[in-house]
Amino acid sequence: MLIAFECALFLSTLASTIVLRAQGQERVKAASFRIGVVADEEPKEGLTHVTDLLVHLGYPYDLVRAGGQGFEPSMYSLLIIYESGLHNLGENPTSTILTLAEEGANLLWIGPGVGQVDQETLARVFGLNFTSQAFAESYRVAYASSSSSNAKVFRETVTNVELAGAKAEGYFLDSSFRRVCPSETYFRHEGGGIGFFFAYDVSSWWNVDLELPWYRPARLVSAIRLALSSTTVATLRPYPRNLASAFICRIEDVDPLHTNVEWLSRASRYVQAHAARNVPLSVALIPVHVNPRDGIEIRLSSDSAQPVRDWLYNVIRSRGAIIQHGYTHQHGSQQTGVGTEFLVDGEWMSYDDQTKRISAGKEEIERALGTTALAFEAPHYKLNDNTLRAIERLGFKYLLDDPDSPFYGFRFSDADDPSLVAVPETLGYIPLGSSPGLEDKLKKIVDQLIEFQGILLLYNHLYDDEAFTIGVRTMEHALRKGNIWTPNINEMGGFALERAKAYRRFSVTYNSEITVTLGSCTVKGLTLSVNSQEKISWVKVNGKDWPVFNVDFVILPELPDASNTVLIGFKEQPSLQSLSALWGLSLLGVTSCMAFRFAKKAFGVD
Amino acid sequence: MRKKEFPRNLILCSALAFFFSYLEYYYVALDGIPYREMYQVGFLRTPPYVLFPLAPALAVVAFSPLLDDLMLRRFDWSEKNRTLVLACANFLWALTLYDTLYYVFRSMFPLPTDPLGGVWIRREEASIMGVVNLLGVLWPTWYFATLPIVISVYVAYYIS
Repeated sequence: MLIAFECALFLSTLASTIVLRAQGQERVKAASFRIGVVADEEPKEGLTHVTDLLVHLGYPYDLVRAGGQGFEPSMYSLLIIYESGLHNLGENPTSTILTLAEEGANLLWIGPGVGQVDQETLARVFGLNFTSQAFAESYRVAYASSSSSNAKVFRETVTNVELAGAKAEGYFLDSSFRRVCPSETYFRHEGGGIGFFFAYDVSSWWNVDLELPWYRPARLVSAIRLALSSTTVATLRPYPRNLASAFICRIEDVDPLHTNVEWLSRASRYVQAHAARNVPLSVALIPVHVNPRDGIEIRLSSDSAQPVRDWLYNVIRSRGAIIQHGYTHQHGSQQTGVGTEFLVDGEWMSYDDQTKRISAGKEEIERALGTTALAFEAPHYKLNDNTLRAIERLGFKYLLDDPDSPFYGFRFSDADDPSLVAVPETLGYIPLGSSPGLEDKLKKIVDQLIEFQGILLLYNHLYDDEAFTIGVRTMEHALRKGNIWTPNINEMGGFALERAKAYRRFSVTYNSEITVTLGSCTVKGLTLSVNSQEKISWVKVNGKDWPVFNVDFVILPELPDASNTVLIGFKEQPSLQSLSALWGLSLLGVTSCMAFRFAKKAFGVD
Repeated sequence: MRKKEFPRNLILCSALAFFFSYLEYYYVALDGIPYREMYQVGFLRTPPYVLFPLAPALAVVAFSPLLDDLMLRRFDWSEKNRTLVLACANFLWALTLYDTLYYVFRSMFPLPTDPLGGVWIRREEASIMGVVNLLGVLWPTWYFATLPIVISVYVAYYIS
């Protein structure tokens, strides 16, 4: 009888614990978080840079256009405004801007044209007085300066403004480093939002200043973060598992003639130095070396290329990847490595000819190494739309390119899915006979790129021992920063493509909870970063509890559905209240009684 | 189980539980994130590799004295019952210790790349039975079932 009672009590305790955990919860209404970009429809470099930046940093955004989707200012947490897009703000853009500010909107003005806004509105929204607008040289402007960095200003239009309540975040300097006028300003307007102003086109002229190639994207990212600092924000981070940046080292222009003992020895040591730190190499491989003048043609599969093949196997074993770098990396009578391949004397090769050459190269790599190259790099980065069509048709997924941007770029298929991801080079290369000064410069650029989550891609021909040393030290410097992802090009490209699929349905709504919608993603580790006053307390992915989060980020599992919902809560969730100590102690007591009785019997204790 | 055999088996089970926990937390990881955190699927919300091979491996060690008896054809049924009960207790102890040590490692000696480093068990990570909040600390509910069994068996064994 007693045993039956104990059993019943035990079972009821168990059932209660499960039932308590299964209680439902109340949902709340939510508002949305999006960025609106007010710009002309005509594609321009600056606009492409801004949209690439927003995609890379994982901000949901719309291009705001008159006559397109209904323009609802209240739906945007931040509006990025270009002069070219003013007509999208209605017949009286000045009045729209003022209304937006009064409603508490955050506004970021980029470049010239602010003179079209009347002085009173300008003062109330951006805390500025417009003086004039002209080419930089007419004001003797040579640099834009902020955060103790001076970056070059080129032959571009700048705006001369006076502060009327705004705080200068940077100044234009003349060639003697004397201040001329503010280059960027920050103002909290009466609506409570922020008005940020760039007096030059911060979205153009990227990667032109050789000393500080990424100063402008860094400033733009900093301005966006500042403008959104008091807003609840959820972004989709560019790298998996909350990693801050990604480092890739590409070995450039390797061909079947790279059999020189000195080069192979250096290259082997380079692989070892990287493998020891779990950093794989990605090798830009030219499958066939030709020198038409001497009648030389050496294929990767030929016997003489065995030492190169052995080194490539070593790279692959160390988690490395192969990038197909053209077919012969030359045209006409040039030797491999000298000229472009698809651009011959100013004329682009036809689609068929490009396809034939790339296909032949791909087959050669497969024959020689037994591996399929998924990444492609055009010789001297010279490619056109035919090249892109050809590589897509041949199954390449990742493109190494020099788009003057530190962010991923995407090409979309007819079905509007991301089909090709472009990974930019951001750290340049190490030339023959480099001085140690290059190392310091590279380290500075690494620091700046990490600050705004840019991609770290260094390429190295391993010309000499100095190139070896600078390459290894730059890699070590990047890793010392911590939280750096070290993928090969296939790993990075694969993640970027999957993330892009998830991003295409990315939307954020919030109130007391944040609801994020994402498309499908077959890789684990997508990370949502949350900027909120409160700490994350619980997370549900597609209705199920998910534990991998910290105070301000969530690392997601695979997202199997076409549309996935991530619910992020900041307050204790009623359904997840832990069981009270009373339940635990009851269970403890009941189990102890039963177990002790049974154990005494088993051991023959009276 | 003979008197000397019991502590030896208990120590062996504990050592194996420690080893498995250490191995799982520090080495069963995807780019620095423990596998257990990213793969939240499985029967009873338990990682699949715990169901096989870790739990069976612990069971083999815990039940080894019984297996030993069977192989040596010892047919003392009373002794065999005692051995079986002690083996069950050792197995439950090893499982509980293994699970607890995982969270001890995570909270006290975390991997630098673990997003949950420094965090004790979360409610969402618990098995289907959930967690109990005891003195402000969360404990998996199933510990409250296994530990009394283990302690009762050991006490009964001691006084016998």
